[in-house]
Amino acid sequence: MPRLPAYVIALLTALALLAAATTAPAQQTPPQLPHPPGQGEPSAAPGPPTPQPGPSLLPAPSPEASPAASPSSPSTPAATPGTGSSGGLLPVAPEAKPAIVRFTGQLLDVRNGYVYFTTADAFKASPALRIVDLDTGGPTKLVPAPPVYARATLEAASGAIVELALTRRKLATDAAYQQAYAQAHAYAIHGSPTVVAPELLHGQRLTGRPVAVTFYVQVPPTTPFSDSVYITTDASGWVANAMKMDRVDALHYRLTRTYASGSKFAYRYTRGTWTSVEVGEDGLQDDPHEFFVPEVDAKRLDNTVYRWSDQNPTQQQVGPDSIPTPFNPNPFGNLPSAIKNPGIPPASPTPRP
Amino acid sequence: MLASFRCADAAPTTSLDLHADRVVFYSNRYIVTGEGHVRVRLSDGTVLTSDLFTMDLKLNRYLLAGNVHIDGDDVHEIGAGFAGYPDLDRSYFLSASGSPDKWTYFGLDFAHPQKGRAQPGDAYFIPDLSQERPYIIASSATILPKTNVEFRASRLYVLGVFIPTGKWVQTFSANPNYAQNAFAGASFDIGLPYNGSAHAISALHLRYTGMNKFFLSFDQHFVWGRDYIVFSVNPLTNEERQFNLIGYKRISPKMEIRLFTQESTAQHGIYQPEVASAYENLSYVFAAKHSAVTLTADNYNTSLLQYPEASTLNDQRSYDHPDDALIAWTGRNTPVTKYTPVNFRLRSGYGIAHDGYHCGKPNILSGCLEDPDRGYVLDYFGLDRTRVPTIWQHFVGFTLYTSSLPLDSNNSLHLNLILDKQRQWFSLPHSIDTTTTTVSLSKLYTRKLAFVGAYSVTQLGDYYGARQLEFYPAYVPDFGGISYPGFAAFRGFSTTRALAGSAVVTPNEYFNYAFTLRRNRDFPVPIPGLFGNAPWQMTNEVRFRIAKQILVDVTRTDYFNFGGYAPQFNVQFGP
Repeated sequence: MPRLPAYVIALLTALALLAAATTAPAQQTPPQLPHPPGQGEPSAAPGPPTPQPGPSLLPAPSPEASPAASPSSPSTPAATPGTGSSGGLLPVAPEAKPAIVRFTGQLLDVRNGYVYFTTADAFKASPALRIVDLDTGGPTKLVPAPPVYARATLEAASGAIVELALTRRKLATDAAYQQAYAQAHAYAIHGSPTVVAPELLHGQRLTGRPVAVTFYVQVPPTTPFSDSVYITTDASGWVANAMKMDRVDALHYRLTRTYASGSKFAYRYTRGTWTSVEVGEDGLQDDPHEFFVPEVDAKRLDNTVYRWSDQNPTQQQVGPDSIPTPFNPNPFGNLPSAIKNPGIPPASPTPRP
Repeated sequence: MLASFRCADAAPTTSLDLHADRVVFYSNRYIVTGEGHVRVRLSDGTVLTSDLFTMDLKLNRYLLAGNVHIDGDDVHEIGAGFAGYPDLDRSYFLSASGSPDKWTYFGLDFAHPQKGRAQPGDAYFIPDLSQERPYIIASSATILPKTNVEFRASRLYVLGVFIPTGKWVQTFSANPNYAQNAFAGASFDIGLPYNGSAHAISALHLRYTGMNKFFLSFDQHFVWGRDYIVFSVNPLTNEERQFNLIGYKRISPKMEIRLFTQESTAQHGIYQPEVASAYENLSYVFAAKHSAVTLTADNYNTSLLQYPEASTLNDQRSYDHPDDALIAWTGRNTPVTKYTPVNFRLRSGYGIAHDGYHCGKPNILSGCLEDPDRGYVLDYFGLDRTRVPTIWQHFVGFTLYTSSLPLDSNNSLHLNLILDKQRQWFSLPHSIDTTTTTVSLSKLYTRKLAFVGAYSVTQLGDYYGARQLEFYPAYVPDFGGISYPGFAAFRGFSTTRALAGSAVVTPNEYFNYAFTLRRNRDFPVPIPGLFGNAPWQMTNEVRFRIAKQILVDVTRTDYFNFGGYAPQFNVQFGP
């Protein structure tokens, strides 16, 4: 890129200064966080959580508590955009750095002359580092330790943070975060040269966006018409009747729930109890279904229940609630015995339920 | 560069022993935090200290943030953050002993940090829990990754207050066998899991039933992957109690065995019971290609105690010991032809039932005096009272059904036809035929509104041939002063016709309403509380969510013309 003339840089600097003077400190709406678990539904649980395909210094997809920088304060004399150092996030003019960079983030530690943020970035701390209250600008009793948030003021000339304004309030980030971060990141301290971690290369970016997941299941034709079908999941503590499905027709049920992308959960179909849980086509107890919510708008899961565990050929139910009586060829159950064998007391013992 | 990568020398930690000023569990997020003077001991003895600890139990990753110290046999390091990823067998460390640097540990090998290795972008992020309410507050906890957390000196949030619970084990395993239940049903049940390990959980349950009122029960789970044992005592605090045990073992990839045993007793405390009976069910399943072979056996002991003295007139124990066994085969769903949407499934089986014990010494109340054969037989056959100690049977059955047949171009109207038929032959001899025919029509108007209507006919026939009238003579029962003359025409053949319709409204995922109306026409006529179905049955069910983790299910079923008007009301709280 050709070097800009000095008068152009001066003009850009003046414009940037004017813009900065009219810009309030970043207090924006936080980005949408991954859908919290609960509500009897599977929760976000990716296995290797959100591994990044590249160097870890890039801001993570879930920008919770990430540093958000704003160009200098109104008194900042020069706010010429600096070198875009982080992944080409912004086309900024080269060789022009603001005298002061302010950015926000969640503190990890302040130790041995460095300030650490939860993004894993560390910055030099000025020997005269001031710790103040974010709201009052005065002294604070807060200690610069997690989970405190801070607005850092970084002096470009020394590359050190000269002030930390602390608060327990979450400092939000916004779309301008990427731009501001690029400026702040230029001053981060790098340790050993970054080398590739193979175990992180195959991850996918997951934003936690809401995904409409539709469960669609075919049940055995022997499923009683009056019975309900449920989904039980590990996130609902495997309560057998956690999520009731809607009947579509005699053989199909469905249920639509919204999950965050990246959610991972296990589930099984039941008829409301663990004695009436699905079993495989070969009659064996299968492992639970597992599902990982991808980064899509909607997803449909088609499953087939081949048989229920309580529907063996003899239709006897075995379990704490239902004790089969010894085989008795009287097919009419509770019919008075006198109908079939007048005058004869019932012969078969029946254990107490 | 690749040559510098090393394989893990050790497995990830199998436990985290957490101590802090305040340990908190947030149930909505499955996150455990530790605040102030955090001390975490890993399974290899390495001790980590910091200002803050968080662990996402579902993500299976944890973080120590601020003033981090690693102290072990081979390591003494200071850092700003330590992120453990057991699933990756990696731990990520933000070193602060000198110039900031990023280190990676393989497994539990803290003596050989890999410097500069790329780390997950959110490794040191602290979850925002500002909008979450603590569910458990404790002073310490032992976390077994992917299994459970044992909180000590814990307080549990219940209806706005924190109730001291001592120890509390919170299970979050993806293994459903921790949820196997060995209890009989109850109107109310809340578990108090007080002890746990990697393969076991012990719990007390506060339960309520109409008969026993409030009482305590106990259950113990042992889980090893697919295999499990569940033992329960229910009720624990009442004299009449059940001891149940369920066991499951996957013997091989193609075979499993399941055992259910129950001992019912009446006893004071742990003294010898006055009454004790037992039941065992053993089931083997052999997997065939797309089909299953099941071998089941039942055994009954109606009294486990010695014979009473004949003079004990109040003793109503009977002594019987019947057994039965059945081997059955169930086939796969098979299309009749490749071009028709009609499928079938076959089944067949062969079984035996036998009773070889006698009821004991003659006793007036046990019935032995009036019926000296009692206990020796499963049945009396015919008017000549032929004794039948052993019955053999075999059966064949099939289910014929259509796939869902679309009746309109929008694919919203479907027709289903299902026919199920079975014949059982007995050694007595007689045979039983069961035929169920169901026609159903379903209509989806939108994703939020669905209608289903079904007409079902079930025919049950007990065939004795020329001796039919001997076994089903004309008889008019009288119950509660009500005579049922329709039974005079009953000859062992019953028919149940049911017409049912239901509408389901699901405006969103937090609300569901279902209305079902059912009309039953039975022959012989139903006897309330004894036999048959209510002529009219109406069910209203509403499910809605009142909190993130509390779902309310309100069901009311009204029975009409069945011993008068009999409503049944049920409220259930669930996750």
